[in-house]
Amino acid sequence: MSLVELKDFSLSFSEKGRLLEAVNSISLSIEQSEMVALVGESGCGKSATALSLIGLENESAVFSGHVYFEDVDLLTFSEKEWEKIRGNRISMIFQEPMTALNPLLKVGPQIAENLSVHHQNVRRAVIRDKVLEILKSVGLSDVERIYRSYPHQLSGGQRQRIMIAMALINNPSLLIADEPTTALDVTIQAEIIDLIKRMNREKGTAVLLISHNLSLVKGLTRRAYIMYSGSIVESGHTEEILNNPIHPYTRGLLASVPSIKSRGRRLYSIPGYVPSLEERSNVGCPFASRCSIKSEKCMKERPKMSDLGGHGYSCFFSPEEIERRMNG
Amino acid sequence: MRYYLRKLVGLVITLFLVSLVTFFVFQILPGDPALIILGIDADPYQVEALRASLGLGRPLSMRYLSWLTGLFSGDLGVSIRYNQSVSSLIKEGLKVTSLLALYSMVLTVLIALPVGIWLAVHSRKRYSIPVSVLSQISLSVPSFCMGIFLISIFSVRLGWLPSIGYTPLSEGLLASFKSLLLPSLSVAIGSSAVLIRYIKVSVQREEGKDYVRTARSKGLTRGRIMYTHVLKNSLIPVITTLGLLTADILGGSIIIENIFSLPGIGRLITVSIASRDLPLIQGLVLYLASIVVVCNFIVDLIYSLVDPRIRLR
Repeated sequence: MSLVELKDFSLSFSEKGRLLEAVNSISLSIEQSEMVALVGESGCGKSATALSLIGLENESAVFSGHVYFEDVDLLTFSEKEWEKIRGNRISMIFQEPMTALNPLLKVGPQIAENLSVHHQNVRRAVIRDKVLEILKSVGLSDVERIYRSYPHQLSGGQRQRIMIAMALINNPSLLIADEPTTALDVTIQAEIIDLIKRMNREKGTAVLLISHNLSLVKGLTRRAYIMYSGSIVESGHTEEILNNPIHPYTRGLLASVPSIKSRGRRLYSIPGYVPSLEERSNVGCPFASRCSIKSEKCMKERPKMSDLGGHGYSCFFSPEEIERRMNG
Repeated sequence: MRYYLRKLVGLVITLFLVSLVTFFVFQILPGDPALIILGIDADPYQVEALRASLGLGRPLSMRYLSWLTGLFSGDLGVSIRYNQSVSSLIKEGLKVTSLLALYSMVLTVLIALPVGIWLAVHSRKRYSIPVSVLSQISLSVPSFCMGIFLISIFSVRLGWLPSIGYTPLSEGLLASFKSLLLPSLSVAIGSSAVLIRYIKVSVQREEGKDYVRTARSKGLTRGRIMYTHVLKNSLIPVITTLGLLTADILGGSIIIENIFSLPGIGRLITVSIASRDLPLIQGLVLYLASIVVVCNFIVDLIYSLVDPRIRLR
C-alpha cells in the first residue's frame, strides 16, 4: 500500500458564485520513505495540492476525489481529526523561513510546542532534551543558545533548519516541503537539500518536494510529477523525465533552464503565460493555448494519461510524433 | 539598555518642552494677565498688587526660570480663586481623577479585548453584525450623552447607582467603586469601541501571517493558536492605541466630572478657566500634558517587554 494516494483529486474555489478549478482531477502516489517531486510554474496548483494534504487549504476550497493517507481518506476529516495528524503524522515546511516562525517567541519553545501538543504527558525536561537533540541532528551547533534565541537573532538557513527540526520532531511519515530553498542563498540551498536527504535516509520520512526548480529535483527525488495549470502532464522517474521528456510542456520547461551547453544562445522561454483561474477552460488540453504542436483535437478534448513503462504523459501524440513535430 | 536610555532622555526633553509651551502660551495671551484675571473694571490698586504678586514686572525669562525651579520643589504657585497652593489642589483632584481614569481604563480593556477578538474570529458570520453595529454606535455617541443615558437608566429608573458625587476610598471600597462606576462606564463605552476596532483589525491581520500557518501545521487548536501566538503579536499596535486613549480619557474626564459632579481635575480645569485662575490653569495643563507624556513612555517600555526586536533598535 502506498503511503499517500491521490485519486481523481480536484480542488476548486468558489468565488462570487462561480466555481474556479485550481486542481483538475489529478492522481499521484507516494510510497513509504520515498522522495517525490511535484514540479510546475507558480499558479499551477502544486501548493494548493500540498496544502490540501495537510488540511490547510483555504476554507472556501471545494474538494472532490480521494486523498488517501495510510488508507484513510483525508478529505473526510473533521478539524479535530486533522489536529491529531498535523505536525504528528504529516508535517510541512514552507518557502519563507523568515516569517514562518512567531517573532515574539523563542524558537526552543516553538519546537517544543509541536511535541507537547501531541504527547500530553511528557515531562518538560524530557521535551527540552528532545528538542535539543533534534536541533543537533539538523546540524545546528550551540543548541542551548539557539533554544533560547528569538527568530530575528538567527539566519535564514538556521531558521529553515529549525523549521525542519520542528517538522520532524514527531517522526512523521510524510514531510511536505513547499519550495524549501527558494528564499535562501545558493550555498545554503545545497545544505538544506542535503539535510532533507539525510533526514529521509535516517528517519525514513517520505518527502513530497514542491518546486519549480528542476535541477533541485534532479539530485533529490526518485520520482517526479510535472504539473501544468491544475493537471499533471507528465510523471515517472525523475532521471527518465529529465533525460527523455515527452510532453511539450516538460520539454519547454527543460529548455528554459540555463546550462553550459546553451551558453551564449538566447534562453528558450515557453510562449504565453499560465492562464489564471478565471481564464482556464475546462475543455481541451490545458497546455493547448501555449503548445507549438497543437491540433484541432487538442482544443476540444482533454488527453488522458498514457503510460510508457512507468513513464506517464498526457498528450494525444506519441513520443515519436511529438519529437518529429517539435523539431520539424 | 540603550533603548531605555534613549527613551528616558526623550522623556526628559519632552517634559521640558511641555513646561516651556505651557508657560509661554499663557504669556502670549494679549493684554495684561492681571487685568484678564480681575476684569477691566477692576480697582487699579488691586491690579497693581496682583501684578506684583504674579511677578509680572520681571522679564519673561526670569519668570519662567523661577516657575521652573518652583516646579522641581513641587511649588506651582498659589491659586487666585481658591487661595491655596496649586499643587495641593491638584493632589486633591488627582485622588478622584486617577481612580476614574484607572477604572475607565480597566473597563475599556475588559470590554474591548473579548469583544474585539470575538469580532475578529466571527467577522464573516451574520450574527456578528449586531455587535459591530452596537460598537459603531457607541463610537459615535459622545461620552456626556452616554453619561446622561446611563444616569437615566441606572440611577433614575433602577436606582442602583448614585448619579452624582464621589465617595472617597476611605469610606469603603465598594461604596467608592459604586460612586465611580457610572462615570467610568460612560468613558469606557466610547473608548472601548475605539479599541475594539483596533483589536479586531490587528487580530485579523495577524491571523493571515505565515507563523499562524506554521502553528496550524503543528496541529494546534484554533483557541491555542489565538492564545499563544496571535494575541501577543496583535497586542503591539493595540498598546499604542491604549496609550493614546489615556490622553483621551483624561480629556474626557473634564466633561464627565462635570456631569457627575466629581471633585476631580476635570472640575478644577473648568473652574480655573471660568475664573481665569492663571497659576492654576498653568499647573493643570502642565500636569495633564506630563501624564500623557509619561503614559507614552510607559507604552514604550511595555512594547520592549512584548517585542524583543524593539530593544535592538
